Amino acid sequence: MAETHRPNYFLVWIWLIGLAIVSVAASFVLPKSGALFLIFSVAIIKALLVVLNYMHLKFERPLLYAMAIVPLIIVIILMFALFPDFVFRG
Amino acid sequence: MNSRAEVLTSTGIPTGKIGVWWFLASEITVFGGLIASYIVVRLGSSGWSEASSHLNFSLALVNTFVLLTSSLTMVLAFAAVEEKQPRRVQANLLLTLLMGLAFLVIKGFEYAGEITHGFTPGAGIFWSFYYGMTGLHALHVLGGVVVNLMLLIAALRETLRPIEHRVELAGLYWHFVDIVWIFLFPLLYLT
Repeated sequence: MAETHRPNYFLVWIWLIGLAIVSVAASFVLPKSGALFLIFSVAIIKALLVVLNYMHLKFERPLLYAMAIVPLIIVIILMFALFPDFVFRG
Repeated sequence: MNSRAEVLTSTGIPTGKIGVWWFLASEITVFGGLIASYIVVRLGSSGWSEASSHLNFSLALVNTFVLLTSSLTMVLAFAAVEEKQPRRVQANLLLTLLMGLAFLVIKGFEYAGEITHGFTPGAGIFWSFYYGMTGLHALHVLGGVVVNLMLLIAALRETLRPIEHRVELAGLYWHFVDIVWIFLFPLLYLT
């Protein structure tokens, strides 16, 4: 249960702010393809920091992991299902 | 006495928490579907970066810091509930509420500036996605503000104790809204 564990919430916040600054800096400094890769990698890391520490998912049972991951898989399937629409557009 | 939402299910997880996670699972498909559509349509056409350059980047960056910080105060409110510190619960709920309102006010200024320059939802496919995604997100922020206001009123009246588990549940929702913005900001403003 979340009640018995307590991450360092301030440290997580500092990471979140720092990573936000990194992604903004990358959009100005790096070439577009490199910037895109870094920006979305940073976004995924920030989301994981929030989910695992602020939403306490790292202290929860596997059922809650499943409830978060299954809809994500559905969204990824949806995206790949839509890809042929523009890949094969004449 | 425990409320119904605190009763453990056969999974060992309180019913209230399972309920909120079910709700968030459905929300993942709502925002995920929108974001997936945005990416696919954007990859299939051009001119989006030019449209994106008309957005007010500075206000969006301020809003990013506001929302990230509000997640910190929300989780600190939850920590204060567990530590039986009612004053800190009140203070952190109030800060979260104020930052939620600040986010909406700043977003309102941003919308006003864009509409004044002719960038309405009908100005093009980018703008339709922009207003659709950020508008839906802003409605979710508004919903979180209302829930946090109800919790703050209960905390100020010192009637929060029997329903204090709702601070954690409201926090789960608030952090999810924060995560949605973590993806919307780079998708709309940084690419």
